Parts: sequence; C-alpha cells; structure tokens
Amino acid sequence: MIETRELRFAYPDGPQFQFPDLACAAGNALLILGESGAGKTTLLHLMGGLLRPASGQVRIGGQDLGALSGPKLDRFRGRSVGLVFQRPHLIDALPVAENLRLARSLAQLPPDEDWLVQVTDLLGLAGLLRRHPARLSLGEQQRVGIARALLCRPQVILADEPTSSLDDRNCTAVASLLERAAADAGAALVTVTHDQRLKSRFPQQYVLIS
Amino acid sequence: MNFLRLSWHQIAYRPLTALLSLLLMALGAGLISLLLLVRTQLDEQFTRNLNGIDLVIGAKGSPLQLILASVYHIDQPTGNIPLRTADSIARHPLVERAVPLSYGDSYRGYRIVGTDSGFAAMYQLRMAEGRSWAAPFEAVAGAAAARRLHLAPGDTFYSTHGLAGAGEAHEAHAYRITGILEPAGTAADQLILTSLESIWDAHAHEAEDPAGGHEEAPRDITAMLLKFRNPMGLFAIPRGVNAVPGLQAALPAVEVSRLTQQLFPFAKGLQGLAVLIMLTSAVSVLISLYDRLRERRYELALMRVMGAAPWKLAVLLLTEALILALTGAAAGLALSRLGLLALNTWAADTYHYTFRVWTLAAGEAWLLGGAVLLGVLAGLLPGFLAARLDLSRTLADG
Repeated sequence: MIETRELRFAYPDGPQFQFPDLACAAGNALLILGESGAGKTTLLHLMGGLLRPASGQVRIGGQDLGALSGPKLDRFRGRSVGLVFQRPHLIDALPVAENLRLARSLAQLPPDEDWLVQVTDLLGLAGLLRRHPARLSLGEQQRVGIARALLCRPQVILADEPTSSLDDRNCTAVASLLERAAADAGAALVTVTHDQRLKSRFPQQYVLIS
Repeated sequence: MNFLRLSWHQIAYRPLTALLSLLLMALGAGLISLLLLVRTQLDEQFTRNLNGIDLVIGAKGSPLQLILASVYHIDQPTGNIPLRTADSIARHPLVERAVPLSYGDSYRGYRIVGTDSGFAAMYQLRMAEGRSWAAPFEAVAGAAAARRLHLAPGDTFYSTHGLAGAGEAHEAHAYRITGILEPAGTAADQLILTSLESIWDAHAHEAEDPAGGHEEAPRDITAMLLKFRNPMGLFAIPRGVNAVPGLQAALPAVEVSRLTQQLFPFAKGLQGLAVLIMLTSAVSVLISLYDRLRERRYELALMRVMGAAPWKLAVLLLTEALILALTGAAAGLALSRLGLLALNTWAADTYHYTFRVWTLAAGEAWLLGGAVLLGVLAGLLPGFLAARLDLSRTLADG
C-alpha cells in the first residue's frame, strides 16, 4: 500500500540521506530500526509527505506524493496517512472526543460516530471521551493519539517512536493495540524506532545504518 | 467542528489570559460608546430646545447663563427686566413671536414658569389631559414633572420661593393643576407652566407691608424668547436691545456652539484616551496569541498533519483574536449602558434629565467595525507565523 523508490534527502548544511526502497502492503506491519541520527524520522516524514525528497518517489495507494502540493497534499495526507508520534500532541483545549472528531473534520470527511465508538472501544478509551488531555496518563494520551490516527481509515499508519516514552507494561499494550488496530482498519503500518523492546513483535524488519 | 467553536474552546480553556484583553477592550469601547451616546443625545436635546428661538432678551450678565436658564432651564436666571421694555421690543415688525418667561418659584425642585399661550405654540406642546390655565394659580405640568411629582388635574400644591426647592413656602396661594402636557422630549417636560399673573400675585402678597397698604409688585419678567420673521431681525434687534440699560440680547445658537466648543477639547481628550485603551487591548491580544504560539506549535503542526491547509491555521488564530476583540467591544457597549443608567440616577436629580439607555448611537456601528479591524490586526502576525510553521522540523523536535 506504501512504497518508496530511490529516496534521497539532504538537509541544508546538514547530513545527507539515501534510503533503501521499502514497501508495506495493506494489513501488514513493517518495523524500521536505527540509532538516532540514522534518519528514521526523516524517512517517516518523507513517507508522510511532511518533507519533500531531493529525488526519488513515495507512492501511497498508487498516488505519487510528488505530484501533489500545497493544500491538496495536506488534504491527501489527512485522509490517507495516520501519523502517531512519540508524544501525541493532543489539543489541550478540547476534550478527547472533540480531539478525535477534529481528525475527520480537518480531512473534510463526514463524521463517522460508529467508527469512533469502535476505535475507542478497541483502544479502551470509552470512559475517557469527555476528559481533557491534560488529565490523562501518558499511556492513555498515546492511545488517544493512535485512535486519532485511525479515524480517517487511512491507507497507511506511520508511527514515530510510539512507545519510547512508555514503561514496559504500556509499551507492550500500546504496540499490540497499534498492530491490531492497523490490521482491523486494513492499513499498512510502518513504525520507526530505536526501542529494542519492539524488535521481537514485528516479523518484517529493516535496520537503517547511518 | 468549525473554527469558531475551536477558537472558542481555545479561549475558554485559558480564561485568565483572555480576561485582560477583554477587560481592556470593554473599557475602551465602553468609554467611546458612552461619549457617543451622551453627545448625540445632548446634541439632539440642545437643538430640539432651540427650535424656533432666535434671540433671548434678559437682564445683563453672562449670555450663556441667560440661555441656559431660559432655554434649557438648568441655570439661575440673570435677573429681571421690566415687562414694558420687553413688550416694546416685541412690537418690532420683524418679530414674529415673543414669549415672556417669569421665574421665581418652584415645587419640589421643579421650576414654575410664568408665561403666556405663546409658549405652548413655540414648543408645539399638546395637552395629554385636562385644559390649559385660565385664571391665576391654575397650572399645567410637563409630562416628566407630572410623572415624578405624581400630579394629576385637580391636584393642588404650594410653591416654594427660589428654584432650588429649599426655599420658603408661599402658603397664601395654592396652585391647582388643570392639565398635563404630552411628552415633548424638550425641557418643557420638566416644567410647571402657569400665567405671568400667578408669579406676580404670589410675590405681590409677599410685598404687602405691615401697615396694611397694598403695593403693586413691579411687572417684571425674567426673559423673553423671540422668533423673527426673517433673518434680518438678527441684525436689527440685538443692537437696539443691548443699548437699553440693564438689558442684553443673547443668541442661543451662538452660545450653544460656544459651550460645545469649550467642552470639545475635554471630550476629544477622553476619546483619545479610550482609543489608546482599545489599542492596548489589541496589543495584549497580539502578545497573548504570539506568546502561546510556542507552546501551541505542536498542536498546530498536528492540525496540518490531519489535513488542514496552512491558511486555515491563520484563520484559526485570526478568529481567536476577532472573538476577543468583538466580545470585548460588545461588553463595552453593555458597560456604557450601565454607565448611562448610573448617570441617569444622578442627572435625573440634578438636571431633571434622563438619557435614553436602550438606543444605538450612530457611531457605535463604526466602533464595532473598529474593534473588528483591531482584532484582524492583532491576529495577523500570529496567524502569518502559524501558516508558515515548518511542519517536519516542529514535529521532529517533539
């Protein structure tokens, strides 16, 4: 569902990266491991269209990201890519439910309350919908972040260090939820991390070397 | 979720930050709106009372005082003049109408004015109930005076000497109310009208000497209001009047514009201060949005990730600034009405005048427009910065 070809990227006056070709099909999970500085986040941002490659191609569901720009790219990303970060960056002023609804609204998709209930049930958030993010634990916040990434039924979920700031118990819970939720939604899941605890969970792995 | 709701949530989540901007805006806009309300209504009141009065003749003294006393009924009169002298001026061919006024007494703070039927004609007064006076010590009450003093046709009262209401009572003659006037929106609403003879008789009684001899009180009046047939009167008559010893002619239009000229710098100063406060409010909106931009950069970046175009983030911050500016200005309009209500309780006692509170002054639409402009200006820079947010670098930081 997502594939990259001959991706290269260079920061101005900074490191240059040349990435291997990667592919991940719908319902599958790919783990990309690497030390810090290996370009994990850069690769993930290239795959999500947050950065433009110097050369090479990213295709999501057949769509070449290089062919889109500006608000069109933003909208495509909103609908087709679910991003999960190390910290979930929820909107403090909104309760959990509104944070989640915002995902579909910003992607200009109609509300889908059934799906919202399904996703929040799966992630064990049903009781937390009316709380503000500041009143949730880190693990709970991370689960809200995953739910938000799922709400537009994206083709691809890109996760950047989703478990690094969690303790062992939450790490296992969040990782398996992410995996199950992505499979349920039929999305390709690409996770980049240096978290060795995830190594045993994902059969499909790739190691970035700087 | 639309942006209006989202902005509202953002503001409501940190009410204290918003409060300062709101307070400043409410204060500035409230002050301007109060000035507007008071000025338009005073202007209205001044011109309406001026209707049909070209010249006022009275005793020598301050011309402004003469006008305030005899046209607006708020100051002490300058003194008395002989009716005979005034009448001789009134017979001039250029005079279309002359209305004599005689002061001296009041009833519980409301002035009793001795005059003739020309007064009702000049102010286009109509009776709401009862009839006009026909004999001495019959009186007609203005609408506001009747309401405040609970006067109805048939009621009687004793006048007191002087205009302040603290004088000695004239207990020899009781006045009888024969009619109540319709509200006219002029100073006439605040008066009790009677014949000139009533005033003369009341004071003639006082002048009776202990020996039992009856001395006729001099037939004096306090002022005479003149309306000319044509503007030529303005050239011909004042000069002649001012040549008579003890007499002066005052032009209401000139005196009123001189008065407003004197108040002008004061009002301008207040207005400038209010504009300054509103500007300060806009700066405080700008600072609070700009300050929070750092801590909000992740959630703004996240909104981009979720599909929002850059300009939408700008619109979000602009909306927040606009909500603050407009809510503040609206609170200001409410505040100025409260101020007017407070002013009314004071002005009603001192000047027998009440401002209309539930009305919109013409300039207030401009005031709201100005608040919108300030909101846009305050939201522009934060909005611009939010739209230019570097998505990848911001998210990589966190």
